Amino acid sequence: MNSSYELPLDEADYNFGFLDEYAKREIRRAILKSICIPGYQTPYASREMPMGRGFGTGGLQLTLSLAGPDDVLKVIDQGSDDSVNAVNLRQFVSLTCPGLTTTTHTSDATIIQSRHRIPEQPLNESQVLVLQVPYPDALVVVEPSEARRKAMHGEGDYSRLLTKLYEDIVKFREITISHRYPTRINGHYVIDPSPIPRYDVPQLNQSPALTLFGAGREKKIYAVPPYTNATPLAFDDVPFRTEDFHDDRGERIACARCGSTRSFLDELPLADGSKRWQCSDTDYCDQQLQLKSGTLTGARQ
Amino acid sequence: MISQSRMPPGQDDQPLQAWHPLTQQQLFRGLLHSFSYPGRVVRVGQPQPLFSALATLVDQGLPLADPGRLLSKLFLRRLGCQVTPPEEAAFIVCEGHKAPDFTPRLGSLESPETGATLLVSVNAFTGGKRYRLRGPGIADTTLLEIDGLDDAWIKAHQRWRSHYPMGADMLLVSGDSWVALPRTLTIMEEIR
Ligand SMILES: [Zn+2]
Repeated sequence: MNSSYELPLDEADYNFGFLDEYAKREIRRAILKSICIPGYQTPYASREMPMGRGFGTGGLQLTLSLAGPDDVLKVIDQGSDDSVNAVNLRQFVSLTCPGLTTTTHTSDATIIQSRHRIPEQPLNESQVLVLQVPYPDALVVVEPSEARRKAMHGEGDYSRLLTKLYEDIVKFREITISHRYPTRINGHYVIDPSPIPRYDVPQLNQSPALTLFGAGREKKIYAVPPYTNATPLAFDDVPFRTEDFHDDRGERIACARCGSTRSFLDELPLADGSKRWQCSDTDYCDQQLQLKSGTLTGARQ
Repeated sequence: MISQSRMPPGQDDQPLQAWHPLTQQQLFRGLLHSFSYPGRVVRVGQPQPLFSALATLVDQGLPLADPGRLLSKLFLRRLGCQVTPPEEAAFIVCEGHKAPDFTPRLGSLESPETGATLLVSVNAFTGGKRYRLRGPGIADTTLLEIDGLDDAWIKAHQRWRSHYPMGADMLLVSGDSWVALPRTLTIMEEIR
């Protein structure tokens, strides 16, 4: 068990969703304003949670403000439902929200809280994706003052960020940012989409599902509403590109477990020094395996 | 003394239920859905959507304006809010058939979230004028019919967003439903 996780299990006297109703109302007001101003980092008074900040408390506070007894929750960390963090967060929410059920299947979930990945399976209108964010402001690499960053965001002035990106290109002949790729929302605000790979960024664009971002330490909430343009910053001569999973012969590498050639892959080092590639989204990988063996019930892609 | 006859019924008795945490959670999800998918008529599932929305979002010390005096003293006391002129309020209760005679808080470029939320009561979401909406949350465009909303509201909504991200966000309420009109929307009247 994680040592920073201290929910007193014997005290049954919580509010539903752990947070008091004033805290929830404040977070809920911030969520609605975030949707009305897509990509804007709405400030809120982040509450102390019984786990250290940096363990997804920003995302957790969003989930707790959304969740009800009818919800079905999925929590993933780096694509996996089984990591210690994901298990802790999932347990915490189900303990404090009686009636709520949990799942590992993306298609069954009404709320998906995630760190570092967006599920492979496209989301739908009955789902909300909650992403945990360590550093919410994409402008922090070019401007240390928050007041000045807020002014730049308000004016939609990203010239310095673009210059920085272009300098990278000149130096390294490619955009070097692999994660947290700056992405323009609805033609105005540029967001840090949290540490998801570039591969996942296009999933934010015109998604039928709402995506909410929670930064507990920085006390910010922002949103990409459904059916909203999410455009990774790029240049005419250097287009945006996602991670490349092709081998030396130019063939798309397949997942060693399920054989999919259409998923984001993690590189796993083997004991003999070689490596193997496997889907990072464990639910997707399981679904593909079941599809292959014909044991999958219900239609899934 | 507030004239009782102008007050919609129900706010003093039914809505206590609206403060129950699980009711508020459901109501909030209704609001979340409405603001995520603007222009859609969303059934609230609780009586009196106006009071339900206020109970879900407003609490201690928040500045609220009720220029038409639609809220009873008891309801205002339950909200715990601070009653202010519309120009200073975070939430404004409005009557759709009367043209707006104030400019709400529009926020600033740095802090646009301080732009107000207007709760506007209308007659119905059928009949009346027809508007075409475009913006985030709408896949292409969508049509919304509103009966009992003075034209000036839509013109004002569009004027208030002319220095986007500054602007004001609206929640229209009628019967058992509500419809969100966030500041991101482009709204055009569609002549039949
Ligand atoms: Zn796989």
